[in-house]
Amino acid sequence: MKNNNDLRITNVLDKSLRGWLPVTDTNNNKLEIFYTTKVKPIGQDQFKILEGYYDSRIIKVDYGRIDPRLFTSYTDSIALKQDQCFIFVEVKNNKLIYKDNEIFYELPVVANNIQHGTYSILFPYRRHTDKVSLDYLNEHKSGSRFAETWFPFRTSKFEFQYIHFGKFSNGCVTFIGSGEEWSKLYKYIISSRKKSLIHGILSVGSTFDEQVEQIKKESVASTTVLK
Amino acid sequence: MEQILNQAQLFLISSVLVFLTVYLMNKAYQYYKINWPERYFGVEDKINIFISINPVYYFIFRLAPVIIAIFLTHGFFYASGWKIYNPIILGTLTGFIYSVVNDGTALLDLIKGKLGIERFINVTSQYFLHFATIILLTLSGTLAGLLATYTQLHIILPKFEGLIDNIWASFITVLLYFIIKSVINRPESIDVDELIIKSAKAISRQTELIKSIEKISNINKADEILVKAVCIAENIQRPKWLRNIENILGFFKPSGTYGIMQVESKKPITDINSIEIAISKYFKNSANIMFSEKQKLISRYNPDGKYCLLVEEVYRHISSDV
Repeated sequence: MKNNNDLRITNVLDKSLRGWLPVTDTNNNKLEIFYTTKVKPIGQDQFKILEGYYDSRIIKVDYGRIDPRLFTSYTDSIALKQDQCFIFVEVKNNKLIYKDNEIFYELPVVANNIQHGTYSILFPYRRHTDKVSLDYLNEHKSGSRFAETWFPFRTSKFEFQYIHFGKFSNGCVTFIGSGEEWSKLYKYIISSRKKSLIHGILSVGSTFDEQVEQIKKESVASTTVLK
Repeated sequence: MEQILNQAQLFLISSVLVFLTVYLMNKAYQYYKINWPERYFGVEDKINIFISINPVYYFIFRLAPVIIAIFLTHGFFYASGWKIYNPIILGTLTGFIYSVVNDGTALLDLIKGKLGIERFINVTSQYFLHFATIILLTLSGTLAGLLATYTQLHIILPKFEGLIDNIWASFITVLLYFIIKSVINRPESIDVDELIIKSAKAISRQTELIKSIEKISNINKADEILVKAVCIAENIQRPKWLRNIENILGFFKPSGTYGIMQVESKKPITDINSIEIAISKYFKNSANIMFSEKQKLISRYNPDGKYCLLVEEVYRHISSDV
């Protein structure tokens, strides 16, 4: 997927908004859309969402729910860093591996009860504030302001699990490293696009090398990305 | 018409008095978790055991509080000159209603064989006890009402103004207690994030300020987040009301530091002017430099170590790219 300088949601990475922009649609429904969502201006203060769960909805920024409002604009023409993202989970070593800007990152995770295989990492559809304690958000205590953003992946036709920051796993890929590491991973995933609704690939298996080989065989993605 | 109104007032005040007294007495016993009157002489409750020892104790625990409550409430209204029916009649009525609500209900439940009501082996004595208590409580009300009419006893009753003063004094005492408690128990350290959010909110409400920061930063290729961070930090140290005072004092002593960015000037200047001067002097071309270089700029602007740390903290609050 080519990344032109599309108009996207920005300026929402402060500790108050934490990656989500409050908006209202034409039916006055209160929504939130995540950082980097692609939009198109269609009039004064109105935008059309061009991807994700609210694709084609007409929205307005809900300034009433932004306090403090530290920016006059919440959109900008930005290029995303990469196409799709690749996340590898070595279940037996409790490791998550990804590569960003030519650097490999190996981070601690807990991933119980997940079948080996590849999954599509989907767009986050809401903040998971109900699942997150204040400590998880406190960056002075190794939390992350992006702890509320959980990335779903489908494990069966009607079931979802998540890649998220936390402590426990029961089918999820739970990131148990530092908040700083989660913030980096969050930005890596949120800035990726395979296609609408999908950020990239999650691969779960025994070792990283085996998984890379498997993906190459399945021709899920260009092998140059994985070198 | 006037007579009807008077009668209505009499009835209303008397009714309020009766029901208020009954309500308060019920609440008082509830507070002590006394499960009367289902079982007066049970063995599972210490008070039950105590009052079963002799009739004097029964009087003290069952009847005396009722006499005191009715005497105080009815006596107070009577002594204060409120229009009520004869206190003896009202006291009797209060005692009767209270006894019916409690013992009357218990008696009815016993007769109906309601589940959860324990029956003595000799159930007749239970019936008798409740019935006797209804009579005794009614007579207690009569006695209390009679006592309320004795002007010699009014000396121990609070006056209306005195009662209001006491209520206010109690309220103020409780309020002071909670204020002092919250001051003494205040946390040792201030939550920096809260401080930053408070200051950021104050600045963001001045919409022209944010717009100006962005416009002037853009013209000077300054890092607008850095400028905003400095503004927020400055606003913590010198909030708007203080800056306004400085501006007024500036008419008497012109040279000084003014505006939200506290820049030196020979006369008072606006916040936006101070931002223009500060960006031009300290933050020009800071848009695309490393954060370590930005730290040096902050230090040049204000070398105080704690101040620099505060600005960095604010920067991190706004941008997660540090």
